[in-house]
Amino acid sequence: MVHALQDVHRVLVDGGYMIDLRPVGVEYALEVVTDEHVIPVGDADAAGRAARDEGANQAAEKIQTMGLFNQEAHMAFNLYTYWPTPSDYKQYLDERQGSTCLHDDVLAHALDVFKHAGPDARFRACHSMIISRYRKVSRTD
Amino acid sequence: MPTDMHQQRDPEQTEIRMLRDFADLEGKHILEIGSGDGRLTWRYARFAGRVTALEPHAATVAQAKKLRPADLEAKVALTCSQAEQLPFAKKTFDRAIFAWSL
Repeated sequence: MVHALQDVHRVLVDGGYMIDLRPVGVEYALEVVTDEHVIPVGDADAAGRAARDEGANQAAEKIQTMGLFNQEAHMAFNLYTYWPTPSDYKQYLDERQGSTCLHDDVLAHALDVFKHAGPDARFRACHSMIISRYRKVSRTD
Repeated sequence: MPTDMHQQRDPEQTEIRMLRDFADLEGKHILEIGSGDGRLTWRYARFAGRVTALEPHAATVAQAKKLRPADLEAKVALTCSQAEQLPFAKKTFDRAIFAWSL
């Protein structure tokens, strides 16, 4: 990844920005949402992301110690993805076979809460996100 | 119907708002690395000057070309390439974006 960032440094104009936007953390909060309430129902397990997070963090650190970029700004925020039901989310995760999984006990609890939440209920996953802006450091070589 | 068609991603528009606030995209020449099927690309491209979207998997690039809105065909170029050896001259882009790809 550091090699890629070195080449990004090459193709950016002097003073250009590199933006890093990504989810972080090993759990995604799950909630049943109605017009009046937000009900936490547990977490999706994203432990499979940990190694990737660590690699990305190390690369971001490295490009600064190498003098290629300076971090100018950084912010955390939440991003929500909505699903008609907890089962739709479960099916999506199973089909995708990615690094996130929804354990049976969490799904059972989510389904129970969802069933009693009323006709306007929706289900959502909350991703903890970061966005960072790095400015290219111009070099004479 | 694929299950992901059921999802409603970021209806609050938080992600695109943060990106616009942080990246100052207006009129800029953007390089997006790891653009996937273009999910985020289409949402910010209208604010940018030009976009070159890079994706290492040919099948995903082909899918993105099918999904690209007609009004963005001239503005967004989709390229199959690895990020480690960018096929561009130095100092070509104003911004580089890694969205869910670093």
